[in-house]
Amino acid sequence: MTGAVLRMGEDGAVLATINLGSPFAVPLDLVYDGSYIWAISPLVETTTRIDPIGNAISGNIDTGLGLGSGIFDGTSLWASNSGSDQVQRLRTS
Amino acid sequence: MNVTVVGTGLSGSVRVNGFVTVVPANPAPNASNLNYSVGSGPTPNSVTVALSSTGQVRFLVSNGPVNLIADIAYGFNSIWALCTGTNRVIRVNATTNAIEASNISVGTSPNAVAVNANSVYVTNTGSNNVSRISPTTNTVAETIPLPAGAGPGEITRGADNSSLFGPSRDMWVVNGSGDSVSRITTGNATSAVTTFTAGIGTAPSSITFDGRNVWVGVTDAP
Repeated sequence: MTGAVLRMGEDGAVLATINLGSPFAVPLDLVYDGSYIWAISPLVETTTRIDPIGNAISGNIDTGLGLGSGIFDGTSLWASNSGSDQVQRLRTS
Repeated sequence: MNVTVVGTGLSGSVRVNGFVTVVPANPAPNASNLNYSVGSGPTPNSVTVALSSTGQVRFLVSNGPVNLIADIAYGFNSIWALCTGTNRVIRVNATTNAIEASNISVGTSPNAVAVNANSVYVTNTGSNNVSRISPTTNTVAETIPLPAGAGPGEITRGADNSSLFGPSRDMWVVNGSGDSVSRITTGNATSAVTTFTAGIGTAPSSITFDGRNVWVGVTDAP
């Protein structure tokens, strides 16, 4: 049992499954920044960068408990953090 | 705003029940806005809360961590906010901050909202359907049924399917209780729904679109 991110085609077929390595790595939100998919998994205090070309994890950022929904503004990924009473800006490049 | 708990975490080494209180600032009142329990499905509620003097809202969780969602969307120069407790949507003019429509009735327990080229789409967890709102009339133009027990959650725009009838995009919905993902083909008077279960796993919770493919976050991969 593990949280994961699925890649689906327009026809509904699952093209790839990227396991996030923990049963508690449940992506609360997914954000596309034009190059990467970012999976926000607050229960494991991690935001994971997924390379859509290789369908593989290409980085993890320790973002702490409480990270919620994210949004990309063209430069950075912004996400609210109810655990630290902050808005976090993640540099995506 | 619409606030939803979609899963409980660990406290020490055990999962725990608890509640969420949304307040402008400390101290919190002896009351709750949502009460969640281990093993339950998504727990939504509508919360009306004033901003603090510094423009903040605090989400206080009694036992956690939990996954917590509060959803609004932007489109047609407006903010579209969900009111789960009263099953309605509020439209706020993004230029003037004036409320343009305060009582757009949708399905039961609206959960998430997204904007298409010509409509606003709201997933309704309690009634297993999607409300398509016309931004011209501020009314529901179509109620799109999903499979029984679907429990629709997040929704996103998908591929362009524009036609002679105008610009449009598919809409994609994760069905957290139904362990499935639905594609809504829009652009006609009646939308068409195709629901996918193969390879989805358990409890899809999030979704996005990269211009080519749809990406879905799930609790448990198959």
